[in-house]
Amino acid sequence: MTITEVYLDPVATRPVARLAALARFEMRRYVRHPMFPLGIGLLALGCYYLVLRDPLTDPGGLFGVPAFFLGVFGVAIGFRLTHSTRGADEVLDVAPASPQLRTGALCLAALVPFALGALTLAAILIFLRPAGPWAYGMLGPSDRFAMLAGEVAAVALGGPLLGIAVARWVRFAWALPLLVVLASVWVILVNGVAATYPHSFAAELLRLLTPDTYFLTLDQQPRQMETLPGSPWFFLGWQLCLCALAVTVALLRDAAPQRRRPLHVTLAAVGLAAVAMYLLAATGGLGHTVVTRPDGTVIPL
Amino acid sequence: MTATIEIDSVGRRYGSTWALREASFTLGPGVTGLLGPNGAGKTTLLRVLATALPPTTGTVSLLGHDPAVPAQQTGIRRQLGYLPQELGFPRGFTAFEFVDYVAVLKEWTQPDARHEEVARVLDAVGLTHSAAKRIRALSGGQRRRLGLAQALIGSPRILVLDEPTTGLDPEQRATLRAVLAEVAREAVVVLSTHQTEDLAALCERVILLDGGRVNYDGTVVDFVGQAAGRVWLATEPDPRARASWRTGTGLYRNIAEQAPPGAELVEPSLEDAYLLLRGAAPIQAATR
Repeated sequence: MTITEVYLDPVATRPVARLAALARFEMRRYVRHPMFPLGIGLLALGCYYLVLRDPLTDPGGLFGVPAFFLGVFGVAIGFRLTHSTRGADEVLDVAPASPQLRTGALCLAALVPFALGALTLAAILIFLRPAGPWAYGMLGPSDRFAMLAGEVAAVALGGPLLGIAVARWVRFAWALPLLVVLASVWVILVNGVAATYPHSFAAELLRLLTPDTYFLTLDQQPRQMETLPGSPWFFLGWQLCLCALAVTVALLRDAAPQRRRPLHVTLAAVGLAAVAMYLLAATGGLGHTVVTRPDGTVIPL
Repeated sequence: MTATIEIDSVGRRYGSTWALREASFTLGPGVTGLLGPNGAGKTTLLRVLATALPPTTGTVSLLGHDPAVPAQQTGIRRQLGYLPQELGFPRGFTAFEFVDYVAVLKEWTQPDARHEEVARVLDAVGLTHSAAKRIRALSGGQRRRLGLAQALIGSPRILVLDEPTTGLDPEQRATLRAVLAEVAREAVVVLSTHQTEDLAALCERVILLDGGRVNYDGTVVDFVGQAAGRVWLATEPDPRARASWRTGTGLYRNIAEQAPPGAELVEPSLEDAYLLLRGAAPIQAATR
C-alpha cells in the first residue's frame, strides 16, 4: 500500500492570514446586516437632535442613543451573524479553519461598530456644546473622555461581543429577544435603584455592575447636574474586561481539548482583572455625589 | 491501488445503539457507492469518513493520516470535500457568497484566486447564472448543487457525498454524474444514494450496508452479477419470488431462484441485485 502525503500550501497555513481573510468576510457581513445601516441612520438622527440642534445640558441623557443603536443593535447583529451559519455547521466544522477561528473572526467584526462608536465619540467631542462647565459636573477633561468612551465606543464593541458569546452557547430561538430584554431590564433596573438611593454605597456597587452606566444626571428643579460616585476610567476598564470575557467565553465553545486549558487560564485572568476594575471603579473617583449648578455652586451630598 | 481511505473494524455507537459495526475496507481513487436501507449506517459511515464524527471503535486512516490526531485532522480536512445529507444555508447569503465563505474556511486567503475557484465550482455544477441569487430564492435542486459546489472547492482528494442526487431532476443528475466522473479521475469519491441507476452509472465499486454492517463490498459488475440468472419477466407475479413488481410494459419482474411458469430470463439490474442481497423479507407487488 502506498501512503499518499498530504501537501500543505505554505501560504494557507499562516493563521494570521486565515483570520484576516475570515475577519474581512465577517466585517462585510456585519456592515450588510439590515440592522447596521438602520442603527447608523437612527444614531445620526438622534445625535443630530441631541448634539447639534440644541445646546446640550445633559451629556448623560445623550449617551443612551449610541448605546442603544450601536450597543443593543450590536447584540442583535452579533447574535444573528453567529446564529445564521448554524445550519451549515456540519460542513463548516470539517473545514480546516477551526470553530475558534470562525468565532475569532466574528469577534473581530465587532471592530466595525467599535470604529463607528469611535467616530461617534469623536463627533461628540468636537460638536458637543454643553450649556456650561457645570454640565460636566465634577468631571475633568480626562474623566469626561473616559465617560464618553465608555458610554459610546466601549458599548459599541461590547454589544456585538455579548451577542456572539451568547449565540455560541445558546441555541434556542428565543435567546436573542430574551437576552435583549434581560440586559435592558438589568441596566434600567440597577440604574433606577441607584437613582433612588443616591447615597447608598450598595446602590453604587449595583449601578456599576452593568455593562453601561452613567456618571452624570441632570435635575430640572432646581436645574443642576449631579456627578455620581465612581471612577469613569476604571469603569471603562471594567467594560473592556467584560468584552475580553465575552470573547474568551465565545472561544471556549467547541474548543479542542488542547486549547481549553489556555482559554481557561485566560478566562480566570480576565475575570480577576474584571473584578479588580469593578472594585476600583466603585472605590475610585468621587466618593460621593456632588451637585453643580449653572451659577457655579458646588454642593457635596 | 493507492489507498487513500483505510478503515479497520470501525464502529460507531449512539448511546446503546450501534449505528455502524466492524466496517473495514480500503478505497483508492474512483467512485464508491454506499447502498442500504434507511438506518443502515450509511450517513454515520460518511460522517466518520468526513471527520465530522469520531468512531467509537476501530481505526480510520485518510490520506495516510489519523483524523483522531488534531494536527493530522487539519491536514486531512484541507483535502476533503463533504456534502451532508441535510445542509442548512446561512440566511442572507447569495450562492456565490456562501461558496466564497466556505472557500475562506478552506484557507483560500487570496481573494482573486478564491473568487476564480468559486466561479469554477459554481460553473461545474451549472450555477454560474444563479451565483448572485440569494440562496432562499434557489430551488431545492439548485441548493443541492450549491452544496456540491462547496464540497468541490480546491479539488479535494476525498469527496464525501451523502445523497447528492436528492432533489435533482434527470438532467441535473446527468450533469452531476459528469462532474463526479471527472473528479474521480484523481480523487476518492464516496457517495450514498437511493438511486441505484446513479450508482450503476457512476460507481466502480459498491458497498452494501445493512444493520450497520458491511454486507457486500465489491465491484458494481460483480454486484449486479449476484442476480444473474435470477431475474425473470413473467405475465404473473411469482409468489416464491424475493421481490416481484409490475413493470411499465405490464409484465412482472420477479427476482426468484427458480423460473416462474412461462417466464423469460432477463439481464439483472443493480436494483435487482440490491433487493436480492439485502436479504430482507420477500417484497410482493400488489396484484391487480
